[in-house]
Amino acid sequence: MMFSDVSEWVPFVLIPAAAVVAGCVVARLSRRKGRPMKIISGNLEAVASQAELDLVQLQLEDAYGTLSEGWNRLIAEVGEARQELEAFRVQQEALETVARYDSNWVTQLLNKMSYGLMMVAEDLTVMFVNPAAERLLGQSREDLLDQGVTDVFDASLESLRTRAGGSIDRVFDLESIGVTVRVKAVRTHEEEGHGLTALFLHDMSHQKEQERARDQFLYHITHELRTPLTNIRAYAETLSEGVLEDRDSLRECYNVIISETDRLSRLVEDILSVSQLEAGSARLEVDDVQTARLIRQVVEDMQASADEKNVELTLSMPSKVPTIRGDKERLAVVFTNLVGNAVKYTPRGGQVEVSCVEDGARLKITVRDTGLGIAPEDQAKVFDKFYRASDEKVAQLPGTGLGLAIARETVRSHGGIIELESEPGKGSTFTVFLPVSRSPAIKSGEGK
Amino acid sequence: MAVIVIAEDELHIIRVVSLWLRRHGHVVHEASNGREALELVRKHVPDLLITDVNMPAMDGIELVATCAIEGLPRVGTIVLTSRCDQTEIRNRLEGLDVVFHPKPFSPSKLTVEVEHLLDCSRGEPAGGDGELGVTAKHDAIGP
Repeated sequence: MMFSDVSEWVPFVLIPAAAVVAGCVVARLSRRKGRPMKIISGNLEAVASQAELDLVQLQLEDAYGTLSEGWNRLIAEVGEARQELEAFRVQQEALETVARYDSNWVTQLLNKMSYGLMMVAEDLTVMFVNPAAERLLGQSREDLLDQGVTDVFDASLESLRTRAGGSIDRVFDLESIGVTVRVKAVRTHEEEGHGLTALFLHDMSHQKEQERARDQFLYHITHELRTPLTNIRAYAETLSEGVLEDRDSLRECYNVIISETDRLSRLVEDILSVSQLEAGSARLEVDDVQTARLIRQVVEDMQASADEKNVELTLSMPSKVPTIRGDKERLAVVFTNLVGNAVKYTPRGGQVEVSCVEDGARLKITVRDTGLGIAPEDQAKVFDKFYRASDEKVAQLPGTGLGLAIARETVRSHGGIIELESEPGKGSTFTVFLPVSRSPAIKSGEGK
Repeated sequence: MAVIVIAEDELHIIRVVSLWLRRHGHVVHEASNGREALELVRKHVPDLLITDVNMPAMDGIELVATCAIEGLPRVGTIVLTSRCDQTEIRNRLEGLDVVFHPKPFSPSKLTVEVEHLLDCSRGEPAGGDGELGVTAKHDAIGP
């Protein structure tokens, strides 16, 4: 069907179009009304959930303009309040961290400091003890806190009752626990007339032991020096006074003076050597050391002493012995001391075996004898300077007690170790381990 | 002539001291440690004992103390020791009639000391160079 004029088709076109337009307007209006509600509800949810600051401002005009401004002001205030709150929280957290750190720092310092610390009240009660003080005094915190400070040390600390008497710097020998403690008192706190005194406790036992060792060292040196000096003095005077006339006696006198002078020189060298080695100031002339040649030489040099005592001295070595890096002269002294001791302390008819083998990255040199042996209580001490075994037979033989000290320190300075196995009456075995250098092994007969 | 026991573990020292004393006409018995010396003292009942302090088996202090209990020797004892040891040794030998002679020593001065002690015991005036004291317990002069 076709419309013949406008009046006929207009209603059919305009009415639906108007309906569509109206629908669109209504839909748009309803969207404009619905978006602010969505934003507001989103903001409220964000505030309630303490989520990130994602508050969105409303952008409304006309009749909604007032509402929009009010809402925006509100969310701005909420935002600022939340920022302030967050800043406050961060600040509080930082303060707590600092406080916690401060408290840890002080606690850790008190717990870890090597000085013992005691706090003592005016009535001399122990108020605080740190772990170092517990260790030093060999008593638990509970035990110490139960006591007066004069019970822990002695009555001289009564002076801590007064401010004037609080200045103390004294060394206490606590014999019952074998400890020497230096006590320094500092008045630290004054409150309503009541004072607290801090006692700093320093363990002097090691220092005292060092002083004792130094005195002992000097004592031994003077004793060892005195004998050759006495001999030289006495024999020189004998010669000078013309006490002797026959040629043989005169010759003997001169020989004693010469041999005692040599003894004095060796002693001085040994003392210097052991002191330098112990202090780590010994200068090593490091070079490739042909171990086989060195040990063979030492054994050859000792052969005469062994023959004189009818001691069988043997050497066993493989055909190839690696070289080591070290100071040849000082290592020669080590093996001379070890083989010399073995010969000296082995009775007539005994045996001394020297062997040298490669043991992994180390060279193992063993000196085994069938001599007097060393008592278990002496074994740990024989390497100490001037220590001589308590055995009567040992004491009757000459010796300064420096040979093994020099041997141990020299081996140590070469990065090696020295071990001892011994049974009294059966003999001793000294084993030296020295690191092998990377140089190729050479035949033990070379360079002889 | 006197009978003298010497206790000293250093062979050279004992030989030179014996040499000087024998040249002065004394009979000398030698011991290389305290125990041997004690046996010799008991056996020979000497006029004098000359002893070192540090010796194996029995040291000089124990030797002197043991001898003193037994009323030996007859005249006196000379202890050879260094000056630095004297305080401790004096304390240990307190009350005993002992003369200290310092080491290193001069054999001639030691001989003078011996003669002096023997003279005193005989009631004769002290001989020697006059540097020595007249009582038994005194310090001998050093070399």
